[in-house]
Amino acid sequence: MRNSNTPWSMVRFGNIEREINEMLGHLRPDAQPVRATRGLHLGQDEHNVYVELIAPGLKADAFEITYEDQVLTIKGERKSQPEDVVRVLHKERFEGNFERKVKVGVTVNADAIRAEYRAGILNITLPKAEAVKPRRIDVQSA
Amino acid sequence: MSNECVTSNCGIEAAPRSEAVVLEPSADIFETAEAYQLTVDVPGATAEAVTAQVENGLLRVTAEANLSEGRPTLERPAERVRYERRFRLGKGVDDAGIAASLNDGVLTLRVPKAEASKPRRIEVISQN
Repeated sequence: MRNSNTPWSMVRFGNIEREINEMLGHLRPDAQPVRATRGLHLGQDEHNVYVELIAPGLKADAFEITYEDQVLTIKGERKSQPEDVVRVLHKERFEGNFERKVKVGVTVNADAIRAEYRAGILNITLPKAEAVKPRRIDVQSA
Repeated sequence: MSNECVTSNCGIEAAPRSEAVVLEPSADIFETAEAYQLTVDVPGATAEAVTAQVENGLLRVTAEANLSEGRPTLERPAERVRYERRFRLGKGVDDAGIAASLNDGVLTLRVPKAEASKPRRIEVISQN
């Protein structure tokens, strides 16, 4: 589904709900009837398109981020088990490889894409190309 | 018994919404030779916003995250999240020795085993 107000669309949805539940947890029964915070958040302003991925427990160098043909791809692997484990008593957290793709529907300056990882949240900033930024048109008095 | 009205018009009014969305975060429990390790996903949480308390044999862990902090407004279903998870502790743990650390949005709690339940090496005595 493509919303005409947003300049992106998900290329591959996959089992996003399951992964989100595993990465973020389940909404408590006594909580507000608001959907749990989703794993992938998108936004934009006049300068940039922003992509935020909730992905706790990785290292910055465990992400592989590529941009090609207006598609941003985020790959990563999460390992969650300590090495000296004798027994696994309970397992809920996501472990393994994941991949997310976002089709960015505006032209961005691919060389200037920045990514930052903090507190388990990956933030990617895609600067819009000059040609697609809004500009003010002065009206000349005749 | 007093019949005083709580609402302004003695009818019904909505209670204020709590500010943060409450989530029960995903957790793993591992056992090592010396301790149990609890691993809880709390993305966005800072160390100051984490609490861990033991009461009546329950370990209660909470954390708070403000997802919008310092970041541009994105289309998020919730900006503030409160994580809350409880673990029942058995007799085999030393609840006074629990230590917690927070890294990359993951809270790790080390719960030492009580001395009596640690594995111990049994010496085999040769009869010769």
